[in-house]
Amino acid sequence: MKILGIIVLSVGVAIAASAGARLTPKLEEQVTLGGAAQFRSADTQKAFEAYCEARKEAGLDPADGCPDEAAQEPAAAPDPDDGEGGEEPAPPTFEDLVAAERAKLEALRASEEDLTGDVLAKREAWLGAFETGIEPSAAAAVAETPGPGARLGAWASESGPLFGVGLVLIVAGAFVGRVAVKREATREQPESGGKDAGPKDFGAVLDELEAGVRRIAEEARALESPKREDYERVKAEIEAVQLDGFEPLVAARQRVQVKYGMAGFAEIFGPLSSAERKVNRAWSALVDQHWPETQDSLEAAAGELAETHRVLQSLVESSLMKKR
Amino acid sequence: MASPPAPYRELTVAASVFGILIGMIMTAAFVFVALKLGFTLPGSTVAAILGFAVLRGILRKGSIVENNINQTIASGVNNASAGVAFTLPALFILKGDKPEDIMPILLAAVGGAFLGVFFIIPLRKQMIELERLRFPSGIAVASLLKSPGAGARQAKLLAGGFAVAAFFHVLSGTGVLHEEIEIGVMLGVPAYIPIAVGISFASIGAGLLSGKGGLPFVFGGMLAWWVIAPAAVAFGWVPTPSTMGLESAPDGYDSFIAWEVGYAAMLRPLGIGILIGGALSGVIASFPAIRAALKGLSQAAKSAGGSDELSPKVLYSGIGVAFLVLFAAAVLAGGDEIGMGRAALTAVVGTVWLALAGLIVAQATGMTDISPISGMSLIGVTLMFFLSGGNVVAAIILGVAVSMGIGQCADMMTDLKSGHLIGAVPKRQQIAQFSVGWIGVPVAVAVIYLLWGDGGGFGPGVKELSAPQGSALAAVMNSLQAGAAPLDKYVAGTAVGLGLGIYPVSGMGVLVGLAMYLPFYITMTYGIGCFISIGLQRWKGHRWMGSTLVPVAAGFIIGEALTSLSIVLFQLAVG
Repeated sequence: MKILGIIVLSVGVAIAASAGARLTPKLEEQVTLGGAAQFRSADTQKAFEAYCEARKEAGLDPADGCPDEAAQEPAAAPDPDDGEGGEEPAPPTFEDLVAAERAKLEALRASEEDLTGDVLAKREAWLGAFETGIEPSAAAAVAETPGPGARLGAWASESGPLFGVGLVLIVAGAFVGRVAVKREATREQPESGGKDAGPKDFGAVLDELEAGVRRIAEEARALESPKREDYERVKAEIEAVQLDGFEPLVAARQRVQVKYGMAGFAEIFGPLSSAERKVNRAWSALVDQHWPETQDSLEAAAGELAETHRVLQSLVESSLMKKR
Repeated sequence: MASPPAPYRELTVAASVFGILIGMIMTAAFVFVALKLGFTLPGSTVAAILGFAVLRGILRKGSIVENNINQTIASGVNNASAGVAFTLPALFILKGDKPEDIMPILLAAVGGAFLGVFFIIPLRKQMIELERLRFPSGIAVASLLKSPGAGARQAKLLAGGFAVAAFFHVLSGTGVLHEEIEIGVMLGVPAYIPIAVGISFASIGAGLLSGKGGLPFVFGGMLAWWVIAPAAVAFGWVPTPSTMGLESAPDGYDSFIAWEVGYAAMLRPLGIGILIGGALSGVIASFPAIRAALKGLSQAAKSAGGSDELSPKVLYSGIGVAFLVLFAAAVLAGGDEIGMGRAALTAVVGTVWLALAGLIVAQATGMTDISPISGMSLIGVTLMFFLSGGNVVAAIILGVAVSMGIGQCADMMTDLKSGHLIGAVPKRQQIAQFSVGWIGVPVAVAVIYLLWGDGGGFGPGVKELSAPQGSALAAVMNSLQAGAAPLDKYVAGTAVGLGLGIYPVSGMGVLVGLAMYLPFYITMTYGIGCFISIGLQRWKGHRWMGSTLVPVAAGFIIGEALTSLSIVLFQLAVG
């Protein structure tokens, strides 16, 4: 059942996320125009660089914006807007942009430089690429950006139904998953068995842990002048409690959540985590050779575990009362 | 009569002063690094290494918990380096000049820093004690702090992990190895179905420490890039060569589809939406636990022996004061254009967004060690832009507050995780961070003003200091002014995230959203760590994981952090 839930959820996410990711027609058009302009511009730049290279190989001086090696400027096709300045102009129309670019192209074509062979061919190729790119670039530059509200409306009408199907599947898969987890958690014996402490043995593990920590705390309190071996022994005992006492309880937290609800779970795990932190502090204090802090922390941890026990007991009792 | 024993060293003058000093130095240095390279370094990890080396190694007097306080303070101060350096430069770039009135900037950043610390008070119990999030960097730092008592074997494993990560990071950082290996491209698979891994042992280490819990993140990435992206191409939802008026697919077509269309226009904004929805559903689902946690804090505060936690009263009053500070910043930044009502609304929404974004960033960091701060700051700035009626100055200044606050949340939570593992008192850590969280702000702002100089000191076109994050935010502001905001993706993503929140795995929406928000090679690298961890757990058992895998993974994370710092310092030194 859990697997079924995951499958339905995954299919739902795939459908909803695909539909959610889909661009609105207007935006797709804008992206397409941008892409066309970008690729045309790349073609123009490539052709321009090839032309400049051919000039260099033919021993001609730099011209048409080809880089002057002495200046060490990177090669870039000449910008038609170069040299313009002053006040910020009104946004140009498609026709304005095309006309400006064509004027630039005509100026380049009117060049009287006498070129032949490969250089001439490369120049023609560059100007051809330049011409091809004029309209896509202008179209991309003036493409209107749809506003947020318009985008949302257009997306909802285009992809909304498919998205809705995906969302329904997500919710259905999630509910199936919840039921499966609840069933698994309320079984008397945990599926994995052994190390994973389920609801049945949570209290028992807690009892053992509380007894263990209290024993170490008493042992530590009894030692006023601990020797090196005492530090090592208590440290080893704390490490055993950390691994065999706290970790199985922490691993069982989902079961506790299902059984006692989120609030009950928080009530149990609040003092339990506090006890864990205090045991960790006792370990740190041992490493730092601070025996009094070790003693205090262990006693405080034992107190927190007793509180955890009390909370668990009251939750169990109120749960039994409800059942009756 | 014997004198009473000296108290266990924790919140000491030495740890505080040294932490503030390291933090201020890191802030100044990392602001410069952020403006030059576009990223900062993991403050907590670097601070822990430096503090450990000096307090424990040189001064020979730092206790384990005192080192944790030192690291908390240093990283709390340093948090301003990312919070301010990723956002404020956009204002300089857009205006072409430095803002004359520095007061709203300082107020907003300090207010954000405080809010971040306050929101952590109830979240600590929720994320560390109840949800048990891993916070891989927090575990790594705790492993380092615990190393003096962990035994020779674990120290060797930590050192081994450190050496491996450092070796590979030096190779990738110096260009000997590529930062990512594009296996798919080698096999002829199109770039929009990426099969790629990064050379990052820190990511592998985070995956090793997350194990099974990180799987939704990996599956989210696979779903995004191996299902949605190819489906979008197959269904013709992306530009084709013919619709672009091209005869055939040009060079770079697949990359264009993958990055500019699939990632930037589709998956990333959708991922941000899923992150928001996932966090919202998490708040709803965890509400009883958060209420119980707050109740527990109140009761503990009233108890005779005092409490290890800050009282909820501090949370409530802190939020009130920080809200007033944000309100003042909005009024000052908006000038005549923003009335009192709009400023109040902006401050309310800013505070609420900061809380939610802080939760998202803390959850994402807790589950994967990856923090989507830039995405959350972006949404914050977008919200502020619309709420302030299109006032760019107010939007960016309040964006600084949001960025500071959510950074503080992630950083504080990581430090609190380390603290939990070594037994530090959370109240002392929170007081420490609360006391110093503002110190980095004037340092970071001053460095930015100094680097700007008489004008044009950084930004696009300035080769030495291109301020990549600030420039990107400036570009976003320009597009917002043109009316572009992917509201459809945010709404769709939020709905998916809310739906995922019903599934009984905590943080599912946040993990799936984060996977869509990130490039795939990051997810894949982390996923390798998760899969190795799951395999090893089955093969070797739980005890072995704790005694062997954790120190190795911690070594990976610490090794990469320290090597990154060394490489960056070297690069800065040689220009």
